[in-house]
Amino acid sequence: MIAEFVHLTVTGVLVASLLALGAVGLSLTFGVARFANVAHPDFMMLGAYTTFAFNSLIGVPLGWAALAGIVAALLVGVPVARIAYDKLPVTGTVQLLIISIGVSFILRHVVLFFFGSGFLQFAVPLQRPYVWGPVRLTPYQILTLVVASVLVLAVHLLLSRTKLGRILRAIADNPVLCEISGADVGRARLAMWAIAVLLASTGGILFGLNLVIQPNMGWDLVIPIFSAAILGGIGNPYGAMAGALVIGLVQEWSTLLIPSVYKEAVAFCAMALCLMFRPRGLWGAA
Amino acid sequence: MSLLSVEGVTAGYEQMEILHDVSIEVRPGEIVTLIGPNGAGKSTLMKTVFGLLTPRRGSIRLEGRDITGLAPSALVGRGLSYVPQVDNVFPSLTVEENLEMGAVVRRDDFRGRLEEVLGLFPTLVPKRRLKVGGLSGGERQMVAMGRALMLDPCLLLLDEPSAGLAPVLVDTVFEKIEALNRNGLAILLVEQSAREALRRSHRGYVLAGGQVRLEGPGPALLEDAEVARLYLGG
Repeated sequence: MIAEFVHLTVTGVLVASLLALGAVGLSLTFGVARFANVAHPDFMMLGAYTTFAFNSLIGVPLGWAALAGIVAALLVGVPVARIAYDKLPVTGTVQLLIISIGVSFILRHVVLFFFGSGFLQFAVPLQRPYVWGPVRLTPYQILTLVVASVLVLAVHLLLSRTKLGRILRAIADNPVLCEISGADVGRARLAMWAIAVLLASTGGILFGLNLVIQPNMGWDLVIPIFSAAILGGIGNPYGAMAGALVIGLVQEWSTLLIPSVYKEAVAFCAMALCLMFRPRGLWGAA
Repeated sequence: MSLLSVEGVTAGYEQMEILHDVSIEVRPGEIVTLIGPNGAGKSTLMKTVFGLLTPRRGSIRLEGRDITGLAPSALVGRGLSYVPQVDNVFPSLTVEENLEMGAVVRRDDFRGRLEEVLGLFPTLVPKRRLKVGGLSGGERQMVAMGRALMLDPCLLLLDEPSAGLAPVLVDTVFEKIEALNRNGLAILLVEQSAREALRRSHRGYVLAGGQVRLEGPGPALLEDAEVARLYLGG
């Protein structure tokens, strides 16, 4: 039982690190652009498929394929986000939300058209796990934890220590005053979409490294990623990191008591419970 | 030569024209106050000068150069700073970060400027690392003015700096404005506390219905019978 609990905790932290890469970007874009980008998890799917194309179709080794995949995801994702969310003569939270559902469908169906609907895997050798008592981790799982931690730390340093980070937090606070101060809001938003796509596509690649990929994976991740972001107080990237950890652990621990097919329902219930008692999220501003 | 000259400006929002053929000027080193009833167009005039609204007719010149229709980011680069009446701070940023946002277009090292501006508002010094959202109304107003001063502007536009402040703080705000002006900064002010403002102004304009009705030296306007009856409460 204890061994099982430890194993689920390790798995939960792994799931959390994947969710965090999606949820942090989602929260950042919600704070700055002020709408819920339903297509955000599809940027994860995009990164997984661009990497798959370089790795399995062209035969580039996985490390280089991942780098090329991230660049390709940026080249597709950032212009799509700029055109759909920043350049259309549309403002308003609901309008942008609906547009993002459309973007999600388009991305998914383009991938579906080229790659089919089946499950796919990266061409990676079999992994021999390291075993420390009840803890078993494959090298790719360790890589996942390291990469996710480094990226989340990098986002923290960017937001807290750099001029761009300060401008992004300032836009989230008061976009008009940002313009009045003379900040280049358009360029900051471009940087924000690049950060969001970079985090999401890396998360998608790590997802593919540990599991299988399919074109609906973005859609399947909507509930856990939004749950993590909302739980942490949406618009607050730091809350999103913590929210991802809660969702990851609660999802995995729940399998001790109920069948694992209900994992996503558990994530949703955790979010619903949180909203009942703390409508602004566990770490949201009061 | 005037520092700011607004000539025959007509402006407003999509459906509604608010300013009709307005002309004002600010000369170097002056405090100029706009007074007038609610809806007279005072804030609209400020927004138009700062490029948040584009005039339909007329021209605006800063230091002799045409700035009509320029965006705020371009005007900030020319030394114009604006403090709106509401939402004039970043609540979740610290005092220091708010001030740094005021220098966002400066490429030089602004740490020295930060200390200078904090020196103008000593009450903010012990709170420099606190989030502005937790400060009092008076302190927020100091942060708002501080942000605009970080630019080392040639002209400061202040929209109702005393609005919503306790009477004792209103005096403090006006003392700050006078102190800044003594250092040579020109200030264009919109004020509800018209008496306080006019007494300290070199010149003033009375706006009503989107037009300039009267203009003259601040103290003279203060003594004008019609101004007193209409806008100063008798």
